[in-house]
Amino acid sequence: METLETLWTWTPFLLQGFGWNVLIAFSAGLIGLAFGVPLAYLMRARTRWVAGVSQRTSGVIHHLPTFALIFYMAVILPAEVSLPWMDAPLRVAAWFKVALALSAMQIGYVSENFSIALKAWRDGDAAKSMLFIPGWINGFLITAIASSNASVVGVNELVSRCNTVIAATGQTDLMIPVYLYASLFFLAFCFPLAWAVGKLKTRLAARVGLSRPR
Amino acid sequence: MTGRKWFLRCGFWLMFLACAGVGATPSPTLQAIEKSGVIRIGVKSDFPPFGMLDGEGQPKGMEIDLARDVARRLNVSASLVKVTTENRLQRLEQGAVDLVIATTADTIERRRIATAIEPPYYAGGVTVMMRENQRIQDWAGLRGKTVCATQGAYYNRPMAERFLLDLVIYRDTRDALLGLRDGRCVGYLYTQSAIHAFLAKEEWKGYAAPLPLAMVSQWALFVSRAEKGTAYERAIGDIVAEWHRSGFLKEREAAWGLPPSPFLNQTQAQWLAQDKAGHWVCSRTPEGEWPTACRNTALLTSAEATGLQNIGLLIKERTGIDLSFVYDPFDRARFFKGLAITVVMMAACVLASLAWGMAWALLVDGRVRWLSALARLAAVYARMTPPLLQMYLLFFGVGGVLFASLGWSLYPMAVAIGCMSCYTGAAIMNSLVEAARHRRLSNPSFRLKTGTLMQAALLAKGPIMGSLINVMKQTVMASAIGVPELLLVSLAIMADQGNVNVMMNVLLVAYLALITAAAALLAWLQAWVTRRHQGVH
Repeated sequence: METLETLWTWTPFLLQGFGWNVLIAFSAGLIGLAFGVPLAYLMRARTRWVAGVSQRTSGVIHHLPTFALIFYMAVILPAEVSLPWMDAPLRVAAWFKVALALSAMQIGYVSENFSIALKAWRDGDAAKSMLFIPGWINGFLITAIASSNASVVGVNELVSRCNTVIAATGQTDLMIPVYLYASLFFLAFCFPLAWAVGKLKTRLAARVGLSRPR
Repeated sequence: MTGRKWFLRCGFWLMFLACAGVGATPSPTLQAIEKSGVIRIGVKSDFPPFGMLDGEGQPKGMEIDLARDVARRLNVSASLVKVTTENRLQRLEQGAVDLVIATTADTIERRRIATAIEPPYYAGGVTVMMRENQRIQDWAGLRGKTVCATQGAYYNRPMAERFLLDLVIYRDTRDALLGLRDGRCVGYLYTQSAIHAFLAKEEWKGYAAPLPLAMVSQWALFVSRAEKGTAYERAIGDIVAEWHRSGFLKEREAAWGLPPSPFLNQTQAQWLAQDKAGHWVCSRTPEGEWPTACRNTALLTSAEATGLQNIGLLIKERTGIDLSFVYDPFDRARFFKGLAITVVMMAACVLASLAWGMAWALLVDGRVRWLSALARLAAVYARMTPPLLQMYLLFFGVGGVLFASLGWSLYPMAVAIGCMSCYTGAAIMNSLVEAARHRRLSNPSFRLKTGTLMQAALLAKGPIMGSLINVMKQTVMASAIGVPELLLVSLAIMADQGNVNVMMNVLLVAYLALITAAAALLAWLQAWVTRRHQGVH
């Protein structure tokens, strides 16, 4: 009972942290679209070597481990960049570095799936190309879950705040409830989306007339 | 001193000097010292407890003790000369002092203007002073945290880069300490010796410096540039080696109230090590040098090394790319151990994920009433919560309870493999069950059983391969609970050596190569299994 009360007290604090997770995931998703879609076009380019090079690039990006990339971005990217048209140097926030790292995974997904969709579209199979949408949402879900890794480079998101709560209350026996509680946040966010994706996919697949497992 | 004792001692020192002289050129400095009976030693007077002044203005401190011991062992008297950080090496070059013992860190730059005596006699570094009970035991615990620091300190930037600290810079020590007291930061980043002096004061009760030293620099005695390779350099080097072996340095350290430093322990163990024949491992080579294994490889030049070490140092000198895991035996050992652990983790995760996924799929599609429903629910949880959180929950949460109640401790590697294969196993299960559903479109009685599992697996081979590649990429996450895999060792190496960019790029390339190779291997295996299976049917 007392544990539940403690969890309730800290809920706003934890929710704010989860806001960072969502922000990171959305940013990564958008960056992924912005770079993944053009890459997909290049992968389907008529010029042979352009297609070859872009397919290689997509493959390499696909094989980069996200967790290591988070450290890479956090360590290598400067804390500030000065842009010629701005007076003050622009601060590169830690959460943005993580979003950049996670976007690699997204670029990999998007370029691969979108190039398949593109081929379907060019072959006149519009319905099949629509399958890209559930694919993208699935990728986004994986990114949302991976956003928890931001805690290891000190971004003050949900998992990191869990550790703060445990340290602040000084109760080690709070550890299991807090971590379980935090995992429910992810579950509550991802489950409805995943369910909707499942429905969408079944419906789209029925239209395509093929329900090949993906 | 009795005559006999005096005689013995004289004999010992004659032998000692004779031995030290092997392979060395004669030294004018040593001759002058012997002739005058005085050695002039530069020491500091403003760096407690190493070199300071007592109530009567006389020098005292740990380094003063060392200076006196050098003179005693050379059988001459010591003349102590006050030097400062700015002029200490200049005084050597001018010939105003014969030896400098003044908290001087041994660096490649300094070796160009003076001769560093090997082995080093002490190691300084930076640490963080913070309130007790902060639950921060290592540098990783400070990532992203606000830390106070003083303007102009050379270590601010590298520390912020290597450990991802968020530094607030104060004008001076006083302001930074106030910042710490008022809670504007979790700790104060400063040199260990100074922090040690603060902690000794009453006003900083309840504060501690629990983190290991970072930016460790080894302190060396220095003689002039011209003395490189002379009998004098050898004699002083032998004295320092003897200080380590006899425990004199550790004893003096304790006498001056310094905390026991791991550096002195490690160096003593290294210099006391003997080979099978009972000789010191660290003894002079016929050329009069210490063996490379007993020297600080980061300070060697390629001319002083052979083999791999030579190649690594050459690359460093020519290109500035510091591949310390090539030329430094310690870094090399830990880097390849990390690589091996990563490979083992990848293989274990792939196998465990496949096993989990298949067993889970059999359970879910087997329709064992509530058990199948439960398995389905468990899979949803496993797939939609971060593996990092699952690892923390199991390792710190459950692991803590197990340790408190039963005294068992969990293996971090087993926990990591378990959690990651659980997450991936759930995804594989999903693909298998979906494949089974697809099969049912043409064959309504199709069920996942041990006999039919392979059909479903071949149908879902694309997504399953994707999941397996993902789990191999995820093994990096094991570093979060302290599994010393490639990322963790690379972070440790770059923290010690400062080769941040190089290590990060090496790390990424290493992972890329590993995963690309593993993916090719998996694809080949998959093709082989497919062929065999089709051959059977």
